Amino acid sequence: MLRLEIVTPEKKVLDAEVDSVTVPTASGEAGLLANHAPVVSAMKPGILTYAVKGSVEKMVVAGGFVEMNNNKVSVLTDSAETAAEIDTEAAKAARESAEKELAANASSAIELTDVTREQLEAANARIQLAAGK
Amino acid sequence: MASLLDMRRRIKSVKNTQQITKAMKMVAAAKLKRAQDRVTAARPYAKKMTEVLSALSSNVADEFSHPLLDARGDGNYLVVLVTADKGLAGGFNANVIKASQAFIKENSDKSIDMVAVGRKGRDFFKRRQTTISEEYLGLTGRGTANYSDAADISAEIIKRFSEDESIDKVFLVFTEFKTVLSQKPVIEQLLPIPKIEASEEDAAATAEYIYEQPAAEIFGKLLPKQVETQIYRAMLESVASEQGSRMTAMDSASKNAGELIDSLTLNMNRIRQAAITKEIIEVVSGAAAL
Repeated sequence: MLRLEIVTPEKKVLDAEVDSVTVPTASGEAGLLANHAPVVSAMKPGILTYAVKGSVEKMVVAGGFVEMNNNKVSVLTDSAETAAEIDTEAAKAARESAEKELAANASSAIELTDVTREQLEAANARIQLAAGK
Repeated sequence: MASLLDMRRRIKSVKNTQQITKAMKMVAAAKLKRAQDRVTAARPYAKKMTEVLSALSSNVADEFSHPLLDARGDGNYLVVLVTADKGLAGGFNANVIKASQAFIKENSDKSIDMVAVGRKGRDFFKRRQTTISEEYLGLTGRGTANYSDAADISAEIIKRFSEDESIDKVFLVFTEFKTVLSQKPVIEQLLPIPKIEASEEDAAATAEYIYEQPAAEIFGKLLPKQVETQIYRAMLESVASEQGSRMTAMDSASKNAGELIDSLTLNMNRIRQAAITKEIIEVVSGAAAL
């Protein structure tokens, strides 16, 4: 068992004992189990999964970072939503505007579109999770 | 001497005012509760953020350079002033405006640009020589502040700071919430980010972290978030202070109105008594004349 804590600047979204956590880190999906070594990683927008007693729960998280120490996983992110909380229409609109902006800035340096690409990833993750419920 | 009717009218009008101040006090108390909850809710995030940042900073080489960290000249300041949108909150707005005015006066040799968060600060400095390059109004009215608003403000400031070489330092002026009765205006340097010192305890506890990405990279990603968190905290504290200040101001206003009503009622009774006495004398002397 390990403790999962998801905090956003506005509130503590989740604080629960779980069996395993999978987080979308900047270098790919990473699974965390109990007694994992202390680790810090940047996180990109995506779907975070955690398992409690055989049932698997999913949440969309925006970028941020994840820290694990002493069997406690802390996820710090701008927002975290369950499938039920997602506004699909808003996510679709966000995806469209992000795609448009990317197309308009296609020739600019990759660092400049970082923020927009993150927005696109976040929108995609939201749509994916909402559709999968 | 005022007539009886005049006195009645005055008492009625003071009573109406008292009712309004009482209602405002209740509303402020409810909003204060909400604002305080928000401040508490924001704490775990800020705490973890500082912990990880200080752990990272001890892992990042000294020559690590980031636009948000590197010291620049000392000639051009940007002041971010957080005030309320509404008045009637005791000395709340005046205090924070006074603090920023003193700051501007102290640094009169620098060129100062201002970002106003809240209508009161904007209105005050608009009528003076200070240039206001950006204003954010109506964000704090409901007794809360949204993180997304803070993120927008911080994105704009970071963009200006990193693109525009003409800003050397960014300061944040806001009211710190201590208790309901005491709030203090504070001035903090926002950018470049003051050096984050790792406490020894933190450094010992975090020495053995595995960093999935290079520590410098994570550090660089977290710095803008730190700015966001700071602005968000400033807004939350300011909202809580505003409501606290309004609550105490309205409480004493209600008390004053009560005292005024008492003295007016006493006066009115005296006038009434005098009128009755006068009438009796008239009746008695009229009867004696018969």
